Amino acid sequence: MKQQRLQKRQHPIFSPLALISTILLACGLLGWMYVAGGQAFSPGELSAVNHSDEQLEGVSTHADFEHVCTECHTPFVGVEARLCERCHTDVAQQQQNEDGLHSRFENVKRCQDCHTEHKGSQFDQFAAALVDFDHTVTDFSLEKHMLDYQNSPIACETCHENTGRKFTMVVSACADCHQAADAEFVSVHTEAFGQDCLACHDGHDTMAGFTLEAHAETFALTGAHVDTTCEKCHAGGVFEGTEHACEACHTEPDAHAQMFGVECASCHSPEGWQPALLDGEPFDHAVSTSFSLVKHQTNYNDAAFTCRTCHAAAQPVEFANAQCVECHQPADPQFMAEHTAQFGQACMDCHNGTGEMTEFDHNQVFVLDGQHAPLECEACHANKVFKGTPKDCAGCHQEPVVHAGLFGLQCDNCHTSGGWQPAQLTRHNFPLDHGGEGEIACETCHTATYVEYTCYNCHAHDPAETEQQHLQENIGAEELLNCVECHPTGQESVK
Amino acid sequence: MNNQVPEKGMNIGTPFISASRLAIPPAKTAVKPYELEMSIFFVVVLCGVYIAYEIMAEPSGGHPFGHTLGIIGTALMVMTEVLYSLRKRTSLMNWAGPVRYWLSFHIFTGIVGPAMVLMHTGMAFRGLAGISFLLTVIVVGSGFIGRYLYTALPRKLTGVSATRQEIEAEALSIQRALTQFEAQKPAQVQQLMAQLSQRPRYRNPILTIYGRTFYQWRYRRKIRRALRRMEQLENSQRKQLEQLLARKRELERQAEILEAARAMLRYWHILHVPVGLTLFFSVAIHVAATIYFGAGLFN
Repeated sequence: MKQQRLQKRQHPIFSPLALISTILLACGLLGWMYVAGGQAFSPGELSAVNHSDEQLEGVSTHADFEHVCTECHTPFVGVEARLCERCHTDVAQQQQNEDGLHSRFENVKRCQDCHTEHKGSQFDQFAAALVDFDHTVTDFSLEKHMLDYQNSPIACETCHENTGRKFTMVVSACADCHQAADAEFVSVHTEAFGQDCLACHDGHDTMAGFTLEAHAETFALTGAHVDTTCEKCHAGGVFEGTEHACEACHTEPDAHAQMFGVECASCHSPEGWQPALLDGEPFDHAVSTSFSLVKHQTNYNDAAFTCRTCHAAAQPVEFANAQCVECHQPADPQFMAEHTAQFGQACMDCHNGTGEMTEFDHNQVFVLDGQHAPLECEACHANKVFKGTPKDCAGCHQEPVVHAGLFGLQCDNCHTSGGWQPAQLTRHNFPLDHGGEGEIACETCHTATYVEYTCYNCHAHDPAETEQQHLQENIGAEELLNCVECHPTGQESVK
Repeated sequence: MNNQVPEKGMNIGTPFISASRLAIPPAKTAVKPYELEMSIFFVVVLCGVYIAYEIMAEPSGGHPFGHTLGIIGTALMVMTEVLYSLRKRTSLMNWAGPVRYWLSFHIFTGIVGPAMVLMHTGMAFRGLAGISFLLTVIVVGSGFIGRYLYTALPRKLTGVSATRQEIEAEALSIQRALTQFEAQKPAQVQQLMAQLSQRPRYRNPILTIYGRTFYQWRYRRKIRRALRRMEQLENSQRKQLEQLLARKRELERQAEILEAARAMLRYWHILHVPVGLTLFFSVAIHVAATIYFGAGLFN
């Protein structure tokens, strides 16, 4: 049974017929391989296309060595560039000299990546390599050269002379094509720069190798110049002969009144006109000269100020004080005469241009607080006369009638600059809230002066009756006028 | 034979028949393998990947994608034969599960592998590679034919083919159940059963082997139509009768073609195995040449 099972499981290969069949088939296969030679292993015919009838090392096309695999394949290595370069010596030369198209490819040693083979005898390896050819390796991108002005695809031959194996750039091709779009520009441009367009242009719509650093060799493009379009300086596409001086593009503004000249760089930087520079630091008239121009934009005739309005001296940074008087004198000659006579002509010593005097602290002379703070200068300094202004109260204030000349001129004994009211009543013993309804007005009792009073404004009396009652207390009629004498707190009970 | 204890896994049971109910223990059949469905699924997925690749790049056996397909496909094809044969014909892999599972694996890799190799060719059939692919087509085609031939032989659950006696014993037990059932039925039913049990005229065994699926389908249709007319029968009885009659006819057919099928399977091996071996031989040379000339991934 075991024997039977073993026999049943025996592989059919061990049957003589199957064995003979296998050997016959294998021999047939080997025989065919012997006859076919290298073709048995070839995945496809080699190219028989030759564009130029030129022979390289006695070989016209790859098809000439169709059956000799080792012409291109190194055993156990594969296709090697060195084998290709035995015939394609020009390619090897390009790499050696680092000149020419094949010196620009990173994968130049993998010829088969671009020049595929075994694709049939009519397969054009050269044309196939162009399908995935990256034109940027030539330093000229076709990004902007896919379609011509008529929106038709641009063929290689539009720019190149195609010899079948080599594309030679036609020098005039760029101008020929672009001339049709803008003849005048191309004419001016080529006249200025020549016809070697590729020396400057890389096909990306920018100039080849153009960088801000490169431009800096002739003119540094910094600050506000970075965003300036080429045409601003190179009008009409003319680059040659472009002036580098500021005045070639910029004119001196009216405010300068032609006093600063064309050496813009001595005060300005490319970052912008404002702020101007003074000794290399940003210049602000208010900070740098302690005199703001906020009130000096236009003169009395509404004419715009220029630097020359104040700086009449030869050197622009020098300032003549006489210029202030010269301008302000006509507006108010009398005042100016007195003012300069009083304070001198060094206006800047007191004035900072904002309408206030520079570094003058009025509090050092007279404290301007309370009711004095909002006062106009003229309230104390009539006719703008500052010198000799009295500092005591009586210089401006008179004792009121109500004082009846009894309080003197030491106002601050009772009053503060906060106001006449409330006065400090240091000797007023009679309660101010007499009547029990809060503080009563002074005039309620002191109808004429503060030294006289009457109670009868509120306490209406029948004189005869009051006299009768007080007589019972031995108080005479004269004393009835001095109620406080007996009623110091305003109460009915006497002291 | 009937008195012998049935071998483990053999589909033999003693039918129990009653007047109202006809019952047969359910046949112990092997779990249905899904190797064909899985193979087709993989092939469809591969086709999708291949089409996507073809859109992006020109397919070629030498390109990384094409070459990878070729390497994996070849590995699958080698496994197709080697692992299956090792399990089936030696005791080295007895631990590795039943042979029928390995047959499923053999069929799966035998379909998916060649499909990958077909994609590897890039539809260019030339030289030794072309011959290797032609041999692949023959082996795969022959494999399908062989598989159909293989299933013509009745199998036990272990995958070992059943003997004539075992087939006849199962057929006899079914006949007994049917006879017992008929005895309690009217003459009209008996007449119909006799009619349905009738074997057709002699057919060429090759025709019987390769047309058996069609014949069985036709016979089942005939049974269903006839039983539909028997109003005396319940639906469940009709269904069981159909199963019994169909199984009996299948067993009869198997017994009839047993020798012829075994002979054909032997001859089939003589075609399939040498072509398969020659295929491996040519593939080995193709692979060696690829490495030698540094083609594809070896460059």
